[in-house]
Amino acid sequence: MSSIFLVRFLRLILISTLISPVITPSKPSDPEAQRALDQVESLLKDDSANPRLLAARGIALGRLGRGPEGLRSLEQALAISPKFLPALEGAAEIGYRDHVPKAALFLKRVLELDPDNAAAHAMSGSLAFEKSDCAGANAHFSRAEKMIANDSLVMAQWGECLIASNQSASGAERLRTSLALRPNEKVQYDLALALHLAGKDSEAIEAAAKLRVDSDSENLRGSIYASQNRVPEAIAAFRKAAELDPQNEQNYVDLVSVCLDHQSFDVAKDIVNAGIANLPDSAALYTLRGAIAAQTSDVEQSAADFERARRLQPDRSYGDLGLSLLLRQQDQIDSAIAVIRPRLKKSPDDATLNFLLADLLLRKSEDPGKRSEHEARKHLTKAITLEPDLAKAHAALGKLLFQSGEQEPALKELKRALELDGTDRVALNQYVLVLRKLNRNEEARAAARQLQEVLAADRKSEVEKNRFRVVRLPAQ
Amino acid sequence: MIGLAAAGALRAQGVVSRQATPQARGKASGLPFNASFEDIGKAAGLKYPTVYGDVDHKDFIIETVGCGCAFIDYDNDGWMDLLVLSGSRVSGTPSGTSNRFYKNNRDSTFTDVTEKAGLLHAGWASAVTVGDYNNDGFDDLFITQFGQNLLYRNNGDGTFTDVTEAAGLLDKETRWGAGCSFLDYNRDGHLDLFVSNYLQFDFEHAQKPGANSNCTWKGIPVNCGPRGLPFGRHSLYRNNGDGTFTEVTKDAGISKALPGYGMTVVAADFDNDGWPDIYVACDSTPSLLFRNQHDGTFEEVGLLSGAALSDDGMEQAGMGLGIGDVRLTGNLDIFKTHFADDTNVLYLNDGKGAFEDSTIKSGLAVETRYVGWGAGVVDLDNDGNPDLFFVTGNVYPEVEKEIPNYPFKTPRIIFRNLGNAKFEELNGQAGPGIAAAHSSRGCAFGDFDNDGDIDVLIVNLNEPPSLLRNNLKSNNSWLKVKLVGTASNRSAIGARVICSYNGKRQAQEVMAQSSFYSCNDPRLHFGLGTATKADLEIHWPSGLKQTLARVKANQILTIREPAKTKL
Repeated sequence: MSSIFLVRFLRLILISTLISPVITPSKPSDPEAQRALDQVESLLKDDSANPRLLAARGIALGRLGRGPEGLRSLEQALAISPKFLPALEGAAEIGYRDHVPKAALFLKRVLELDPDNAAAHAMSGSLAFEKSDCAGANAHFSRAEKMIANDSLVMAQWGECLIASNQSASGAERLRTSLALRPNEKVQYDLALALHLAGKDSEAIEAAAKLRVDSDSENLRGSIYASQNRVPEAIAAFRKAAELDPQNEQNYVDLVSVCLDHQSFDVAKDIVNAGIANLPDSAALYTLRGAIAAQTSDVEQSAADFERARRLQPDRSYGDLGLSLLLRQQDQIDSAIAVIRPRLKKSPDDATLNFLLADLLLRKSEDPGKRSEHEARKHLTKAITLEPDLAKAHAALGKLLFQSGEQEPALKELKRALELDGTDRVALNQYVLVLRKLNRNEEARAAARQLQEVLAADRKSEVEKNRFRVVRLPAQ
Repeated sequence: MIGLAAAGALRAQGVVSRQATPQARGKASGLPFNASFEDIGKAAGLKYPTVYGDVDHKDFIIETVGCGCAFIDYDNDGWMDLLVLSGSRVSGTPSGTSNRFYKNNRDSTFTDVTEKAGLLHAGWASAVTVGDYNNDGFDDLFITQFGQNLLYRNNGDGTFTDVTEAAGLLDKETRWGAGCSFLDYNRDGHLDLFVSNYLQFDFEHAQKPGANSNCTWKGIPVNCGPRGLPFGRHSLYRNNGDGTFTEVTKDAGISKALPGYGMTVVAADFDNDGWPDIYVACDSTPSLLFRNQHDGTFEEVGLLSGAALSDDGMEQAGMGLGIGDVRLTGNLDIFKTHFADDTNVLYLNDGKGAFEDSTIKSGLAVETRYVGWGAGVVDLDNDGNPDLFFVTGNVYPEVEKEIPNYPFKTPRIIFRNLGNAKFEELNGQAGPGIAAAHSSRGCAFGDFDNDGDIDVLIVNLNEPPSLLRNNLKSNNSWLKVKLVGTASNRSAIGARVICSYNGKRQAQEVMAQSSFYSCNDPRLHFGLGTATKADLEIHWPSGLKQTLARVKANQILTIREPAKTKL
């Protein structure tokens, strides 16, 4: 799925440059605006500090495509009368249209004076979208829904942002509206993506069928098939994606992921090797090959690949994370910690690294209460501060607290972990045990039932996943 | 991202393994360990191999699981005789293959009396439970198999009779009987029977190695399963008191449990309410704990009690079970063995049937290299603290050719008890019998030479069994307690003995199965350390409580259940 997110964010950036919503377009030859300007200029000769006249001149200039001059006039009006709404609206409109950084400030001031101003919300939404602030964009777009309903580009923006906010089903609705107004290849792609993320894979396949064949669309098709456990189709689509764009490492990563899910290490290795042949400097592919080698107990190859990944991309954590996992697997906890510590020193605010170090320290700890356990607790707390939604960190901290006899704080952490991820088995199992310890037996029983449901669902999913094994085809 | 991809790859294989990282080993205690084990199996006359599948490759899961063994005093002469089960081969059963029964010659040798005893049988045997189901004074045998399970009645004259059909234990379909245990779940004085079934298997539809993701291990094609194969169903049979049994699986609530791949069964009172509960080690699925509700029914409480999963909520490949009081609290703790790349687990019992996974705290997580099978919580050096012993052996002979780190034959393991539920793995300190590598499965603990220490009988696949004689060099005292029920079932299965010595208080219970598919010497063995006397508290299944004060050490004490009025 990682490719999907990568593509999604790329598209967020790309599409934002194509959109110009709701604002009245400028027309250099607009006779009405020209007449208005002439009149206002005349009146200003006698009343040069009149904010209304200054604002009118600014708006007229803006309509005539003379944005910078218009904005200057509007700012003069606002200097005299800061809460003069028409001046603020005009400034916001010109600022938005001409990509002036102050536009957001003008819009904010408009909305302070007129909170239901749909146009201001629409523009604020687009600006938020451009800044990848999807929470802000969604909030603004939802308050301008009627106004933007017939704007295909803004609806596409909103759809994108809803996907990014894990509201893919709602996103798909907006994208469908956008497409009905104006067909667009990129929006079509996003619709297929949204439907896939919303779990509506049959509809996603239909939407993807309308896309032209390229690496991205094949990759998306592969992901949809993979989630439907249509393994042969998924493999074919990922293979085609890699053929169409052999320089895109993500295509190899996705293809290998399917193979690994089905324990086909030999095929996975072939694919990674093909990828490395095309992309000899890909740290991600070396890391992946290292992980495959670790799975087949080829420790030497694994270590060499992780080391190579580290050298190729020293600013990323791939190689270090891989190497530390390998060392952990090889019963070399101290060495694994030694790999992670300098990485964490460079990036102290990386929640994953904090969590990983805590995990290693807990494995190292022979006895509760020892120093490594205290340090683990510190890193878990930091990981949670940095990423409050990191369910695994809450679960690990809850477990640690329970083991230390701190039952109520443990319960709080475990509850939070389960709010974030109701299927987290560490959290669920520990939650049952803490409740039982606290003699809250009915709640413990309910949690045990929930755990049983999670186990059954995992089992079902595994059965589905294991139906296929990807095999190496004979050389032709 | 890459890490996640790799982690995903760990999931798909036929048997679960958590890819647990071994805990760092602490500093060695440096304390001497006075028990030393020597394999005298061959010299003792245990010559028949346990045939189980092909030697260098195993195409089907049925060839891999193996079977158990038992200590049984079938002729009541006070010396433990031996039963060693056997399997078969897909290509055909080799001549001489059979379960084997060895009579104790009382001189550290044994005589094969299988044929004479009427116990010649070749098939895919799994487990054995020993108990006097008809209360006639002689212990009987129940053996599970792929195919039809077998109930052998001890005729009291050195022979056994197959009474499976007469007892109403014939199955209508082919099942793969796994763990089994006699128990008196309704405390009526007659031994009932619980049988776990591993999975549904038939040669006709079985897939070949590498056929799908459940048929690979670390990328190497191996026999398929257990994952991907249909679960077995567990059964409870009530003893009607007239030599016959009635299946009560549904009425007793056993069939309500989450299905799984059931293996070794232990019946014991885990919540100290005086009624036997049932624990089933399950492979790759949550283990089951059936709590006895005192009305002929059980409630499955494995997840609720904390004894079903690892402490991180993952299924483990539960195979063998050691049951004992490792902290000397008077409660029965559970030690369960698992697959390679996972820790075994120690669940500490709070006395109310709630368990805490103490694997890491207790120092057991240092060992993850081997596939663990038969296990025991047994005081090997008579120091008064029960130790942990287990046998190991991989299931995939094909793998070691590709990955030498996973050999097929592996050593036996001892974790000595340092007190306070802390354990230390012994490394080369317990004699050649421990270091020797075999692909072992079941093992049973008992004192075949009546010299006051614990010896071990071990099933080795496609090899003769090992008989590890404990050459204990120590002045520590011991006490063996043999219980004979009167109002209770005659084998006293389910009786609890609490032995107090040197300020310590240890609980043991008479069980009809533990380890892996095996049955131990029914005489409860207590190491007493330096104590010369011990106090005993006996809780009979009938409900009687009996106390004996200042019992002399270093003896095998037989206690017959008294009539109520004599207490």
